[in-house]
Amino acid sequence: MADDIIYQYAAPSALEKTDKGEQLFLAQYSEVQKKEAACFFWGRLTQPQITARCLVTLSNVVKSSFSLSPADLAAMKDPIVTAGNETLRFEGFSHCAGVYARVDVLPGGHDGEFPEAGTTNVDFNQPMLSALGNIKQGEDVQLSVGKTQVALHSGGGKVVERKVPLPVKWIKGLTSVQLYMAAAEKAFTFTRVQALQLFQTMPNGKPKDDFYLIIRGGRPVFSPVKAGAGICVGGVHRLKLIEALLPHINQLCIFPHPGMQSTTWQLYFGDVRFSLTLSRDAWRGFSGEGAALEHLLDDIPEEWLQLADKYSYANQAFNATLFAINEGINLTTADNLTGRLSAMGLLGFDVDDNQYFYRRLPFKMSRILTLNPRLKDAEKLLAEGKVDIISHSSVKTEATVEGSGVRHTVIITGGTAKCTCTWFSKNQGERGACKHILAVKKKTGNAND
Amino acid sequence: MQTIDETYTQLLQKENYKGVLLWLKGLTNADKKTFAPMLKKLAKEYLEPVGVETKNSYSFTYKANERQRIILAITAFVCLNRFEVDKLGVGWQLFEQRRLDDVLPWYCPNWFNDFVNNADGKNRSNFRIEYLYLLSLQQQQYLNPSPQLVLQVLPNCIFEYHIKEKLRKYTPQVLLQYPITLQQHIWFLFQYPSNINWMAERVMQQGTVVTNITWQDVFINFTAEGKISRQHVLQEALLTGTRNFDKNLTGWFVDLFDQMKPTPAELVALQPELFALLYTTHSKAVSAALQYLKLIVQQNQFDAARLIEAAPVLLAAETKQIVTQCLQLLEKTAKQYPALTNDVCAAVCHAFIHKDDALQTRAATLLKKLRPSTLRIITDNIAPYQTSLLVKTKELLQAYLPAEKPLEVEFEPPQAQVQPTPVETTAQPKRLIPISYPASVEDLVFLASQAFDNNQPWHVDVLPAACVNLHKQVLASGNLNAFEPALQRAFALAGGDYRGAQGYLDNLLATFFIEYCRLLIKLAPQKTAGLNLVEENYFKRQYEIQSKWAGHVVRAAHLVYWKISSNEEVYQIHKQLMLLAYKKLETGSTLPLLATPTHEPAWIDPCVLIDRLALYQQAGQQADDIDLQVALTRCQLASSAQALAYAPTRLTGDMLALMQFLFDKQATPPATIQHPGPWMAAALAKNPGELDPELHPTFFNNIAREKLTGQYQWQPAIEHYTEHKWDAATRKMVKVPAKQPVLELYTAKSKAAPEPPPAGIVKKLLGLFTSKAAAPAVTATSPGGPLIYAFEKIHSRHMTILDNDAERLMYLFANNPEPLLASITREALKHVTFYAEADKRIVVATLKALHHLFKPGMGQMVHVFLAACMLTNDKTTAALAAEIWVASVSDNGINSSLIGHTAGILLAGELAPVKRISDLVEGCMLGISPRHNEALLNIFNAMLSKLHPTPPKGLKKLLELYIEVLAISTPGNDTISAPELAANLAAWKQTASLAKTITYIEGRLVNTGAGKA
Repeated sequence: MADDIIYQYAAPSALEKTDKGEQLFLAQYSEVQKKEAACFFWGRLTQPQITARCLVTLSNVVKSSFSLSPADLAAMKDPIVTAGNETLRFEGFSHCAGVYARVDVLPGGHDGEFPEAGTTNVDFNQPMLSALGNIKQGEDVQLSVGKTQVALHSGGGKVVERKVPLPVKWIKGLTSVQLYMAAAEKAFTFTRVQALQLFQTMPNGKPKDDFYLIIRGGRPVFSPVKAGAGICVGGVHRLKLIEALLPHINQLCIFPHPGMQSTTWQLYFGDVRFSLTLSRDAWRGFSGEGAALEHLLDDIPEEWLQLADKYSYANQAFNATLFAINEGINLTTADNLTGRLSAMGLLGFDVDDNQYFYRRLPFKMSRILTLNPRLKDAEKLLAEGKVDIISHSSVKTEATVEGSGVRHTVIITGGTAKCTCTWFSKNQGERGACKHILAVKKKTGNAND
Repeated sequence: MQTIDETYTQLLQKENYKGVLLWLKGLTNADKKTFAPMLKKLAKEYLEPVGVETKNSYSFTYKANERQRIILAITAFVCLNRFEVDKLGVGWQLFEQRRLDDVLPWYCPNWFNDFVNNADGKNRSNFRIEYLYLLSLQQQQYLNPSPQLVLQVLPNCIFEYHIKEKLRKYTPQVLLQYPITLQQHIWFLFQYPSNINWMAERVMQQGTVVTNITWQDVFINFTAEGKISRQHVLQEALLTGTRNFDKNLTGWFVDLFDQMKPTPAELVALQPELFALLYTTHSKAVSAALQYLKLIVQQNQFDAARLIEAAPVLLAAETKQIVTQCLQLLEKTAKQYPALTNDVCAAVCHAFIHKDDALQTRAATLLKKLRPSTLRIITDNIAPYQTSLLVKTKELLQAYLPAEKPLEVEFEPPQAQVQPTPVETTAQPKRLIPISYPASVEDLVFLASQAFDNNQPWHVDVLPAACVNLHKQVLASGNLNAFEPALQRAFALAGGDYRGAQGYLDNLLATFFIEYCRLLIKLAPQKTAGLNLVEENYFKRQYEIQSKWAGHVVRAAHLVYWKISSNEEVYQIHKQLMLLAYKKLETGSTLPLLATPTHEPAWIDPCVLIDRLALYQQAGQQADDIDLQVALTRCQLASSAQALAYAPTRLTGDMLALMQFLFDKQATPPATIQHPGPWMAAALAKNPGELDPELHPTFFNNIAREKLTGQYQWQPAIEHYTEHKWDAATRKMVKVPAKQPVLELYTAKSKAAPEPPPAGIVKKLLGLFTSKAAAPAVTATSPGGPLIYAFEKIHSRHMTILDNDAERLMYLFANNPEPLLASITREALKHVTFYAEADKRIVVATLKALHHLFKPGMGQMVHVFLAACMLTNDKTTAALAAEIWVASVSDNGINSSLIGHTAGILLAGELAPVKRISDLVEGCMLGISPRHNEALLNIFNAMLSKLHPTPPKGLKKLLELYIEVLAISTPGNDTISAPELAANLAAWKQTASLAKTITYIEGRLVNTGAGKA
């Protein structure tokens, strides 16, 4: 049975009218940073209407689900916000963990201060979302994340508790989506008009087939057939989540994963950005993709992790190569460090800056590290002595692993690994290694081959 | 003395509710703790469903009756903690008949409020609390209901159900019993999502039945009676549009606002809410807001600046009505506030994102009318939309437009990206990709483990072929048990466990593999203990299931008996190939299968085919007829000159003659032929669509020529059928004769399309006589031996997983797919509009295969299929058909006039509305390249010629697109349809709404010469 997580907000988030304008207070809660009255941000939004619309869209992403039944949708998960380094980033996942959305309010997008840097859950309740929909262009809107100076809340209200099942998929998604984003490269930049034209060609309904973004007759279109350097978008209907924002954008950039395992759609509104990252298909969540698994196989010295964690602050760029050079670590290990830190919920990725940024997920590390069942299963296989290495050399490893009623064959040659199990046969390595391959790699210590 | 457990069990058995209450009152906390395990045990015994199996059915029942369930629920509430009560799932019964009133006065746990308010989704939906009971609990301070809980029960409270009278009564007075209802609860309806919009009841009111009583009546009456503030209701109703509610709920509140008939003064006061509504995603709300703003645009207090601010968003809306309304409002704004003319002009330009003639004309006319202070206002703002401007718009705005830029300049590629060529189509280079073939036993092990997943369409061919090729190495290998995972999966699939993309062919392949493993067990028993165990486990599991479920059939998975329930003939070809492979394995023959493809998706390199045949000749063996026919049909003939030179170096005699006949388009068959099947297959492969004049009269002449070439005659027809309809007068389902247009394919021998069968008894009687004649006349072993084309018929289009096989079935006929295409058209495209999801999936899969197989010069059937697909109601299907057209126009391989001709006839036969082709042309076919524009003109000329002289609905839009096509294309040499086209144009011109458009077209035709004979 899944654990519950109880969000405890000091007061509900709210948008209130005051003499000076609108005051948007976002109540925060972090189970790892339970300090009373932490305030992460306090200041004025320079693009209040756009920021408000982006936050409403983020809430729509969080409320959406493309592969789960309505019963799974009962509890809404709250997004998280990372405040620091002059930037605010709101992140969230759809229930099915196949759509990741982030709103970045860049330094020019606000006029405020960051009393404390950090990452926290923020309460997104219906009345506040309703109020956000009413914010007008040019309105004076103060935003506060955490403790607020607004008199309304200064007296301290009743604690708002919302109990929801622990969003395991969320946390897993948040620990692996950045690996896909890091591998992605910018493929297209569209103006507002081109973006609108592209979305006019979006198929109706929820097509099960893949669609491709191609350029035809000088215009971007969605086509059911791949052509040239077309970008594959599975579950293309999920893009409708950002349709309402398109009339407001300056431009749209698209960053596909080289293996077309994800696409990131970044909308630009001056100093506010909204990015939407889609998984390979509507029924696939980032949580189950196993992108980080291989990075978790090698043991990284604990002190490096602590070092990286201790000296980083929220939204600070994290450069693994620089870290490797400074600490005298080889680059492969540094790459694993990035994967490891991501899997621990300590890094996010900014496709525009093409670099990782530090943020510590507001969930207990003990929860986060138990979220890779395939790795746990691999360790179980090893513990039960079910892995037999037939031969092992620098060129090729052959092993058998006991499965349910049969023995699976695992062959690792060079950088390629294959297995006879159902998971591998169906996905052919696209969704990360199976538990059998992980077990063999762990046993032979060739995770980086 | 009785123990606690015994006392309670007795009370429960006797259904003594009062006794239980007394007994519970007397329990101490320690007693409750002691009793809890027993209670859980009893709850499990009484509340869990028990299966009851009879001979023909399986049902569930419970030990507890209703009274015992309530007793258990109350006991659980008193004795267990919250978590345990939740787990038992008895929460909802606590509220039945207000039973909690018997308990709460003496026991109310501190978790009660939280339990009721925060039960998870599953339990919450089960709470059946009456609204008034909820308020009573609140008044007694047992409960502080959350808005969500209130909204769960409030909507129902105004409709009270009377079991005796079997009707609902409208009881809005319930809302007046507690002040909190009107002060607070009723407003939750506007602030949180609820199901209020689904509450439309048929109720009994003052002795008569009134339909569709809704909450809107409550609001209208209560505001009229002054019970709640009208202004507040109006304001909140509008604000719901900004609260992210779903489309239906938002629409419901828009209706409420509408029914309350707001006055202009009220609308002026509500301007902030109306403007906020313009940004919602629900078109109904936006449209309503625009409608109300239009009513107050002339008032002094109208906030014109906010309208102009919202215009870019409104004019980008997908809904045409919103764009039109916005333009109307902007026009009025400019008229009312002349100082804003420049701003209005700049805003109007955003309407040109829509390639819609009516919208663009309206926007362009408005711009001309408004006259901004400087031309640049329009020039600058219209520039981004230049690629979307239609011909008539360009003519209207000529003065404002800069010189036209080439298409590609408009597109801004990222720096890292190569500048796109002016025209990028979906045309793939015809580069053949070799299929990776297992070279070792290890490769075979990994192929076998994924072959049944349908990861690649050629796996179904490659696995049997690889088994044959590697059989000796497999036997020599020490690791035969490496096939265990594949065998386990094969058994699972053969046992009926279909997943994802698997089709019947995967089941067939799995059955083949099982047989192969059985052979390995027989040949090398000492090495195959693992395989043997997998088989034993399969049967053990199957018999276990059978012992529980009498109807379960244990499938033994024998290849020779393999068939599917509908006995589709088309699967016989693959089965035959697998039987052949198995025979080779059984006999130890190393001769390869001929039909195995060498290149994606199903092509065979002609030189490889020659080499394979040479092996047969060297071994003095005769090739299997079906195997050879499939090989010939899959042989890549694009560059056959090299193969023609190579064949004599490797082959002699009959085989050499057959290959030379295949590779030389002009070659004729010899006078004597022993095995006519392969010769016929070769003739149809090299000249698809035609019958060899020397072969067909002699061989297979009992098979209709259309069945071999796929070139059926076709026409739209009317199908008569009986439909079941609800008759409101008699309140019964009645049978009603009905008719619908269908696409019929028929052979030349049947003279003409079959007469529509009469309805009713006569039809049934006639059916008895005609049914024999309709039975298939051809079998696989017709005179001349077996022929693969005799198997191509598909009977059952509703087979749910045929779509997973359709692509692979098409690849059996790679060089001549039109006969199978005809079969699929007849079954799945008969109505052009898809009524079944299975039809759609089959057609989509077929289109994907056709995209790979399409080559220049294909016959009429392909064109009929594509045209019908373009007219379907599924946009993916239509877009795929359009993609094939785009690619084949690039290769000069398609007859666009024939596509247009077919589409025109189908439209005239009312198989599809004209709008479908208009949308497709606009979205996928217009303005791709000069060559495509010319081909599109051919489509239009032919299509318009075939439409009825009486203008069909949606013709105007099609004609507007024709104008665009005429403007961007150079007239080709297509003249076949000109007289008919001219006649149709003349006839349509009589319709007032079309006259202007047609005059414009005629002018264009005169100027360009297009369409002239």
